[in-house]
Amino acid sequence: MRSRRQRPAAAGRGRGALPAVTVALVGFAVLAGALPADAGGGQDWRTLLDRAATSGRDTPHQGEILWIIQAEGETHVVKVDVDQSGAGLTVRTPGQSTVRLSRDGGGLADYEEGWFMPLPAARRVPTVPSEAMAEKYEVEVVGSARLLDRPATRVEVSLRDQGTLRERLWLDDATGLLLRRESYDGDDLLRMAVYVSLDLSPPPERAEPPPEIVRLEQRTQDVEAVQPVHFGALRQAGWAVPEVLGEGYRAAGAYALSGRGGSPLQLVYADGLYTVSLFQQRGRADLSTLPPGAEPAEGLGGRAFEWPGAVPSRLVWEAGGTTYSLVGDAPPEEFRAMAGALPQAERPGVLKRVGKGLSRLWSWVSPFS
Amino acid sequence: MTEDCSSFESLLSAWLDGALTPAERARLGVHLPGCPRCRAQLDSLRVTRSLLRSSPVRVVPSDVRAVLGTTAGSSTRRLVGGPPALRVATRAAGAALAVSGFLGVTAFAVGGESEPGPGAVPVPLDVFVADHLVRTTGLPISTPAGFEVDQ
Repeated sequence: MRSRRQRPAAAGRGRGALPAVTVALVGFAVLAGALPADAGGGQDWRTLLDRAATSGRDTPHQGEILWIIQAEGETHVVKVDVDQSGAGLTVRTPGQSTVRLSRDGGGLADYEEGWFMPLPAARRVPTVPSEAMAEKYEVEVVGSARLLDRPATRVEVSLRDQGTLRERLWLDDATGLLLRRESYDGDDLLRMAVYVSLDLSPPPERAEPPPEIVRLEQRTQDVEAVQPVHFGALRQAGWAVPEVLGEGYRAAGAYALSGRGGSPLQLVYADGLYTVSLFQQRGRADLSTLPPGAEPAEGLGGRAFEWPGAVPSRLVWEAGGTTYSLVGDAPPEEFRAMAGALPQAERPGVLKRVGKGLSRLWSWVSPFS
Repeated sequence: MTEDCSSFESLLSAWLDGALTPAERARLGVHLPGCPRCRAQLDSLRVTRSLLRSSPVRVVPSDVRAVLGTTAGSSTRRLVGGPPALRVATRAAGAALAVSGFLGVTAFAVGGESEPGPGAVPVPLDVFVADHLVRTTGLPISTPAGFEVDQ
């Protein structure tokens, strides 16, 4: 594994950061607990969430988001800078890469390695209707609150079948911005993203792309959409293209990418609340190209890796001569279940392995195969 | 796809193959600029073909091919000639055992968990994360960020 990046200064390191995190968590909890809760003004959750979906991209603002992540018994804190200048949304994690999202596309910049890759947005996943969310989740407007001295509305999302709490959301009344988000698995807080500073005064419009990005080496990536009518042909050719992945995650888009890493196929799945992308590449993984922080992932057979605490979650494994990468914000349990439903590296017994080997040898030498 | 488009659907594949008649090419050529759906269908078909071309090709690894070639040659050499009957039977049995053993070991080796692939590919996970964010921004609940944490 290469280690090319300096870790973010704000990132808590294991248990050493626990006291500060505990103070932060208690502070937030006290703050939230002290907030008055009312009926939420009888607002419809669909209207609120539709507004939240666009406001993060369209409302000019600058600020800092503090992420607090629980992973494998440890707490991690990462600060992310957000800048919506009007020309696009730039999300910068100090010491790591910068992602830029705009109406006509986006890009990924790695200032340490000195490159920028424009990412065409033309092929964005169409909006998932709120009905899809309502099938799986119970959504409720539970009250009002004040965050950063701004009035906000609190929304809770639970699994419809089991009542398990999934999300607590605080939406800014004036702009619709998602000011705070807490992700749960029942009573367990998995991660929290909260604005700790927010400036809504419109910053001056910037040239696009920003001058500092123009100076970087420009890498390219082409993207082409694949229509659902062609999924069958892909399956016959050995690509994994399930219509539904895990519990209620439906295929929302398919894209053929080109650039570094050959010609990966990207499939996007959504359940109305969370989204996951599955990337498939022909060939075994060159492990030296994986980002730092990889840990062996159990239960996926063969060579499989995960990055505990990373946002979004990510898993990489190999099966049948293909490298699979799963990226998304689904809860850990559902995320692993989705990977488990995809092709796995087999661990056959001796006889089965010899039989498979004979079959493979025959396919190589037989003129009829 | 509109009703009119259905008559063009079967022509798209032939268009990519260059197998249309001049009249068909002209008809489709007039239709395509004004029909985003057919254009999308054509793009998707072209991309799908490209993906199919990148499907795994069964290739015998050179080391296995070399071993198989050597063994076949040596087995043939051992079985020819005209020694006494007992020696022939013994050698044949030995050769059969050796070939079986070799085949078994080779089959065990190549029957492992991974198919021989076209070679190791770089996994640009950071780019994949950005691709994921770019494609999914604007969905109902989105908190775009991409980072790793210290372990």
